[in-house]
Amino acid sequence: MGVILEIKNLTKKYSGLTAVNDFSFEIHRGEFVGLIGPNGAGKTTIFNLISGLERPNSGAVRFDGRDITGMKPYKIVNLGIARTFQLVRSFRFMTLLDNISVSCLSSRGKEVAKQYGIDEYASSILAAVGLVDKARIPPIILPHGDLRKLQIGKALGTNPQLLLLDEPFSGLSHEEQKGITDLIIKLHDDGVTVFMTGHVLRELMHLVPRVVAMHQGKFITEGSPQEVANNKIVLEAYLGKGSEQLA
Amino acid sequence: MNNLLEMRKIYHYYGKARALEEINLTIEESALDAVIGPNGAGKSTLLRVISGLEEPDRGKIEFLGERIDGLKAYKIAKKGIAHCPERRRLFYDMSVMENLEMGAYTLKNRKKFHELLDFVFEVFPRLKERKKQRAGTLSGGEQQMLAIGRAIMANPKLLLLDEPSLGLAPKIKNKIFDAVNKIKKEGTTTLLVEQDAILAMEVGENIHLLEEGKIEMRGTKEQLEKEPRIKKVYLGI
Repeated sequence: MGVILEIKNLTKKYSGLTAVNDFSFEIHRGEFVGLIGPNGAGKTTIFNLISGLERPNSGAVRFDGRDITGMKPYKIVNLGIARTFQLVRSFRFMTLLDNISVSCLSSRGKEVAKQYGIDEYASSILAAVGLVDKARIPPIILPHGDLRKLQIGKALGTNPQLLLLDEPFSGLSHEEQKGITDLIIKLHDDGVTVFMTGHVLRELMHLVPRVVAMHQGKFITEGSPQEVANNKIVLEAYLGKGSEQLA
Repeated sequence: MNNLLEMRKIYHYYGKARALEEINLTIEESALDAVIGPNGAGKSTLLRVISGLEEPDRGKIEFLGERIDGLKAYKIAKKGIAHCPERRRLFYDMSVMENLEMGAYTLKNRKKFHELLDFVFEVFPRLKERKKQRAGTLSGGEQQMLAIGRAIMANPKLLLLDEPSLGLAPKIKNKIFDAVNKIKKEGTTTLLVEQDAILAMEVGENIHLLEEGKIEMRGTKEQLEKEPRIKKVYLGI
């Protein structure tokens, strides 16, 4: 399968701090990839650079063969990249159905919505994320686990080819995590390319077949979860200098 | 040795997510205990529950034989527990000296104040050099020194240190941990939580491994080093 996302020598600096440092990697169409690294490694910045929330100082982001570096976020969504945020955001006083319908108004979402009708399409997404029985409820009264599902639903409303999930498990109970895991697996089976971050690795390392590891803005290694977990620099990044003394 | 702090069957939840589960932890007088574990394991919550910034949902905490769970944080502070929080939380617009004075606000004895100040400056000479400087203009390492110094100024019987190595270069980390050792040798009982497992195991006499809100293992550095479980807890596989 061809390359869907190509990150090339990406660098992002804030005053004095290099958050992303000469970072390069590729994701193929249909892949399911995890991005790991300790707190502050630069994972969210990578997502911000891909989705257009921030512009890199140098380097390039190519999506589906096209240069999207520095493009506005709404244009990037219309090309087929959707993302979720670590902190859940929603239209808190609108119904769940309306929350999803808003994202169905994006250009790729509209194409599908036109075929089925927008309510029908938005309902089918709510069904996919397991919230269809709450369609008429506003997010403000829902538990955190449901809000995470809603986030993914809003991303799906834009009919993405590539889905970026930033910490989809954070703040969830075990049961809620399981629900999100099943949902992500299903989406991937349906053909969506998924790229996700996680600093809590227990879920992520059992979910994805390929992992990219970063630390202090730099690419460290990539490979199967097992390979990455045995990498000396990865171990040092997570456990501290001298981690080779551990069993 | 007497037990300074005892936690029995402590549970804490954030909404539905369980942050602490059946925590039993005893800290002896003059000990240095370290809690290690990956991000999100519940390390900061553990300290927040002790210092009263969070009230545990279940269980009891005794300090010097007295129940303290459910007490307001300022009352717990008065009893002799100083919490040095994650990411320093200094008074950034105040000078180094003013921050140290703020740490001593429960202190009644002027002579003790000067003793403590001398000790802080002995452990962190850098703070003495910069005592008139605004805290917000200090480097990350210096800010960490000041956060610890401020906590010591309360003359605590128990010092809680949250992630003192966070965001610091290895050299500076070592400096901070040398200071933690010195503070311990002066007799201040310390409970340290730290993501950098290797550093924490270096200084901690008793190590507790926290995973998803539960203490999964305890022991000395020598005992835990042989346990493949630590890597697994941190890296998920």
